[in-house]
Amino acid sequence: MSKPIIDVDLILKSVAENTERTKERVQKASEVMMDTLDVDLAKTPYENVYKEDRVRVKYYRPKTVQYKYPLLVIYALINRETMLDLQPGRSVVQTFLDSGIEVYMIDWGYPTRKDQFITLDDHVNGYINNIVDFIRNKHDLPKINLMGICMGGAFCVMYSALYPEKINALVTTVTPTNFDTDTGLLHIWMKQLDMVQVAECYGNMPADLMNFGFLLLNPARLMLDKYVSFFENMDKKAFVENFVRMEKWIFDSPDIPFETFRQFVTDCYQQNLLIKSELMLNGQKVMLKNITMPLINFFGKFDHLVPPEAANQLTKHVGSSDTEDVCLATGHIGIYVSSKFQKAFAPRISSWLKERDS
Amino acid sequence: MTTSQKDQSFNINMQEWMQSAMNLWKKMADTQQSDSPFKTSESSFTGSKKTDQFFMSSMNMIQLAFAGLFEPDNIESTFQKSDAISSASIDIMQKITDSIMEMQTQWIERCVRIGKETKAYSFDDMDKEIFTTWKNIYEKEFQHLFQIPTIGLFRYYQERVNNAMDKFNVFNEAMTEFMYMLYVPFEKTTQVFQKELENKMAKGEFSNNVKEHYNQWLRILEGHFMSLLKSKEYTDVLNHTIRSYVQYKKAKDDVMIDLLQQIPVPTNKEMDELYKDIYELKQTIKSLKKTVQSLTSNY
Repeated sequence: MSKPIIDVDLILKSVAENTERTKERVQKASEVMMDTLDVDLAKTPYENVYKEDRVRVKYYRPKTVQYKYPLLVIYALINRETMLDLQPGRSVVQTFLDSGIEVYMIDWGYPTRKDQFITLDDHVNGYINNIVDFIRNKHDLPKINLMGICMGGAFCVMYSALYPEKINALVTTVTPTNFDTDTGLLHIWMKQLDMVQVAECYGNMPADLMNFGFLLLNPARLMLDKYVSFFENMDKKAFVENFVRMEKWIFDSPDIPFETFRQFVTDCYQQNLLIKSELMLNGQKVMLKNITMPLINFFGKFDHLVPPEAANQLTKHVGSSDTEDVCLATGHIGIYVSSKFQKAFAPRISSWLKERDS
Repeated sequence: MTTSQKDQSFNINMQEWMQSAMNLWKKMADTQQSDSPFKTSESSFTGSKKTDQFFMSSMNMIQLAFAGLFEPDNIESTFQKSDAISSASIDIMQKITDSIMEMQTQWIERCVRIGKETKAYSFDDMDKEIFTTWKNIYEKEFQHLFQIPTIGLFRYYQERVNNAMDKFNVFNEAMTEFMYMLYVPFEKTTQVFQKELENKMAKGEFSNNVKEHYNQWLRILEGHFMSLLKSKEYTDVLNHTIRSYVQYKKAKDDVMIDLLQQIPVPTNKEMDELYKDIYELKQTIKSLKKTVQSLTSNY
């Protein structure tokens, strides 16, 4: 007798086994879900040291200060800065503190309709400049170190070009500066879609709509496979805790002030003014050649939001002779939260800053 | 009895009937006034007196009109013209009926045109064409209903409601097309996956591992999504959906503002003006604060 094309009996046996495993998994999962879960984010202690409008500055003090210059971290207006302190063992902030760096981090808060008129200029020449001056005065230093994440990195580039005398060293991570690329879907959509109109009719750019847009960048993985994976592992407490923590972070998104969103889309995504040194803020041209301080630029090889082409042009356009590009084989968020890159990312920044701390 | 006597008798009867009718209504009005729990004194509120006066003058006018109508000379003329009156009435009724029939015919023609847009028993390219067809039908045949000019005191309110309904329909059409587009990769994946299974079966490589099949299906699905998301068609449909949503939201907000104005709640439009003022004031204060700080540090 020849071998059948499909072993129906084997398939049925496999289905029966899977059903039994699923039943056990669901029973165990219900116990896990009912149990007390540790899903809190940003547990590293900090102190609020500055407040202006809705903007606050968190101060993280290391046990022993080992750096002359404190580090100001500027997060994007999309999602929240809590991603840098996701959980013990996966915390960029904790790694910096362990190295002895004093960390200041801007919390942009949750913009409401009353914030719709706040411009790019208000962020760079207003909030950021005031915060930098506050830290400089507090430490009695002429300069501080600056680190930016994604859109926050673009803010840091703008700021460093306008106030190079106040920055000792600049760290940019997954920072879009060259928007003239069609590699990432986000770049294509921002040029072709009328997202500014959407933001205008809501007052600000709604976070839920933005998140829906991000999910549409890869629906098969982000809207389907991700939850299949959760279903397959929901009986494992550590997995569930990590998963819920990430879900909490991803969907904890503030709206973006309309005017800032409009300027960023038209000036950066559509006209690519930043890399061309043609962006105007408060009547001043943002000249990248003014960035003369040391610069290290991190980006992800598989980043679908800020592809390498969007991030790797910066070092070629600045005036600094001390520049370095670091491409890590990961995605947009993996750089910060992946356990694989915990040693390749934050510790590398610490050592790079240490070399430029004199 | 001569014609003149008949006319006089009719006229007297008519006058008597008018007088009795006036008396009856006056008595009823008086009774209602005296029984009413809301009765008011004439000195404090002259409403009842005014009503009586209005009522009496109306009755007098009717009486006057009938008196004129039934004057001997006029009665003859009236009866002579009765044919003309009935003929005119029939003519008016005929015109109204014709108009209704014409409107019905127009509607039937409209429905026939809808039938022409969708070819009977033709399902070729139905999934692609159905949205274009529906869009054309809506724009040609239905959208005009929401754009009929409105008149009268409340015309602007009505216009905004009609606009919101129109924009809602346009958005619904766009959203349905967009959702359909997101479904297409699933359909294509199923077809490709089925072929791959057939190939594997033919080669004797069919796996009994369900997870393996799922991963393969997911890879195909992801590939189809990537092709779709990068396509111009997808961007066009997404853009159309976004634009129609923005228009619908604006139209809906306009209606909502009309409603909110009836209750003591500020509208977004009013608050936005206030926010703008606050923003500008804050900018001025911050700038002045910096100037003061630089001046004091110079001293």
